[in-house]
This record gives sequence, structure tokens and C-alpha cells, in this order.
Amino acid sequence: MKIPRNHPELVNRLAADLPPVSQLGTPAMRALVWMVLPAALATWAVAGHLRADFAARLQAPAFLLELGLLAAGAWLSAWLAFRAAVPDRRVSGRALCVAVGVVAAATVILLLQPGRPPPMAGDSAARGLGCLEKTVALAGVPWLLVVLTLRRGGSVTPAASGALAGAAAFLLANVAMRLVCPNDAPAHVVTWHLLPVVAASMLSAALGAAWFGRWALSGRSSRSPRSL
Amino acid sequence: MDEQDSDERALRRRRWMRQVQRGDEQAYRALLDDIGPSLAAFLRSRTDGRDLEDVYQEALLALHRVRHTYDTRRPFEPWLFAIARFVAVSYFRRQTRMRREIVGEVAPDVAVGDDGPGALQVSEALHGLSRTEREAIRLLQVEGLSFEQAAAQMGTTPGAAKVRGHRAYKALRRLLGA
Repeated sequence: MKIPRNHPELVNRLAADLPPVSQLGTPAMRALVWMVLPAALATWAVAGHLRADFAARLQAPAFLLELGLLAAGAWLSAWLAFRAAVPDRRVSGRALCVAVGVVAAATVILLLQPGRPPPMAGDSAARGLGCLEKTVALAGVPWLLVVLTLRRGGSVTPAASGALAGAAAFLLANVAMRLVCPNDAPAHVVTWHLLPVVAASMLSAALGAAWFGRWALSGRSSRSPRSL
Repeated sequence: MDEQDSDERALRRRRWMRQVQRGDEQAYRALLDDIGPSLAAFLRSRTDGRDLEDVYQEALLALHRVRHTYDTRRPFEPWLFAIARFVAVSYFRRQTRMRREIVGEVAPDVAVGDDGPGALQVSEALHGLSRTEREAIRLLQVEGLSFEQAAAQMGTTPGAAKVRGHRAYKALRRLLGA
């Protein structure tokens, strides 16, 4: 089998620029590490703004389960995003189904929670927009962190990486929002807390498609070695 | 016997990659020489033969850039060919865009579509350029980089990048009869 004529020149140039590199950690560990700082920041951000019935809600196992499932959904999404950023580790359909199933289970628990308070009075759209703003604000730092972490990878499925990054950040923000927003009405939570996860994932997929492949693999990276 | 050879080769490549991540130049040379033929064959089956050197260069650059993403406990070949496949597809998409965009700039009277006669004409003309001229057009016209940015990528000065760009446009116009 023939090798291209530029092979010797390429080998010489690449071998001359070979600093040691540290191997990426496992996607699971990276997802866990990723969650620590945003979780700490979110705790700090919501500490003074907890819902009035916070203590009472913590007594409800269904509420705790819902929070746990949302957090698990965030971790799973981040794990899949980091997996998708390693060339030989694609996102399997089964893993994606598990992540979607976890978030769906959280939604079902929300819908089925017995004895929830009645929907809040007042302008629901204005309240909803307020929640949307807070969700976006809370998701900003986690999203930025996951994107910066993904930048170290080499995604061959950039759109999937982007979508999962958006889902991870917004699901984490959802956990914090459930601690802050006193409105448990399913219509409110689904419309103003959970639907933004879908929208953010789509937007983040578009950004991921434009950025991730460009950064690492396509030869157009700002940190790429000189053209040979 | 073949299976044993194949297993040994796989183990050898994993060992080389471990050393490469530690910065071992000799191991890197050995690895690149070893994978060169199969990588070239893989890319040749997915690209126009005349583009092989360019795609091969991009594939090796990508491998170099993301070498830290290889997990040395896993097989090497799926990682390598996942990168190669992505690079080949990206290259093909970029070439298509490049043909479309440069015609608007250099020879607007040449009708061009993705597969039409105009596209073929441009494709032929691009292959009539030297590799450095093609690269100048790609960076300046398609990527839209400034002379400074393009110069950094080409490993030259902004002045030289400007000259290279003008020469490339001129050569392309001549080849297109524009």
C-alpha cells in the first residue's frame, strides 16, 4: 500500500512538536467534576431565595425523588456529552433513552404529586417569564463550563455534544429552580422550567455543530499547529 | 497466524500511543509510519485521489491535536478511523463550499452547483494550483481569515500571505479562463 508523498515531511514536523499530554479522564468522572462547581454556585445563588414552603417540601419523598431524577438527568447528559467528545465513543441509543427516561420520570412524578398547592394567582405569563430568566441565568455558568471542558475533547458528533451540553446545564438549573420557585403547577413547571431544556438543547446543538468540530478536528482551530 | 499478527500490531500501537502521550518522539515516528499505509488506503476510498495528500495531512494533524483523547486501555484503530472518517467528511464539505464561494469571487460567470459542470471546472482548476495556493484561497476566501490570521496558520508573514493569496487568485482566474 502506498503512502502519500508528504508523509515523511509530516512525520518530521509533527514529531518535532510533541509535548507530553495528559490523557482525558473518564467521561463519568469528568461529568461528576463538572457538576461540583455549578452545584456549589447554584446553592450559593439560591440560598437566600428559597421557596417559602421549602422545609415542608423537603418532607415530601416525591419532591425529593423529582429533584434527584433531575440531577441524575443533568449528570447523565453531561456524561454523554463528554463521551460524545471522544472520537471512538459515540452516544448509544440506549444510553440516550436512559437519560430521556430519567427526565421523563421526573416529569411524571411532578404531574402525579398528590396534595400539591394550587396554582399561584396573578399574571402567570409574567411569573413564567421571570422563571425563564432565572433558569437561563442559572444555566449560564454550567453551560459555559461544560462547553469549555468539551473543547478539550475531539468530538466527531459536534451537534450531539452541543445538544447534550445544553440539556445538562439546563437540567441542573432546573434542580435549583425547583428549590426557588414556589409554583408547583405542572403547566407552569413544564412550560417555563422544562421546555427551555428542549429549546436550549436545540440551540446548543447548533452552536456545538459550529464550534466543536472546528476547535479540535477540522484543522481550523486557533490553537492548531502551524500548517505544514 | 494472521490473527496473532493483528493482535500483536494492535498491542504495539497501543504501547506506542502511551509513549506518544508522554512525548516520545521515536514512538511517534514508529506509530505514524505503521499507520500511514492503512490510513492512506482508508482516506483514498473516501476522497478524490488528487486530494489525498491534503486530507492525509489534515487527518494526521487532527490525530496530533487530539492525541490526549485516546484512552490507552481501549483499541487504537476505532479511535484512529473515527477521526479519519470525520476529517474526510469535513474536507469534502469544505471543498464543496470552497468551489461555490470562490466562483462568486473569482469567476462569477462560471455557473456552479454542487455537481454541475461549473463545479467540475472549478474542481479541476483548484487541482491545477499548488498546495500552498489552494491553502491560501481556503484560508483567505473560504475561512475569511485576515492576512495576519492566515499567515499564522500558514507559518509565514502577513505580507507573504497577501502575496500568496493574490498569486493564487490570479492563477485560478487564468485556469478558469475568467
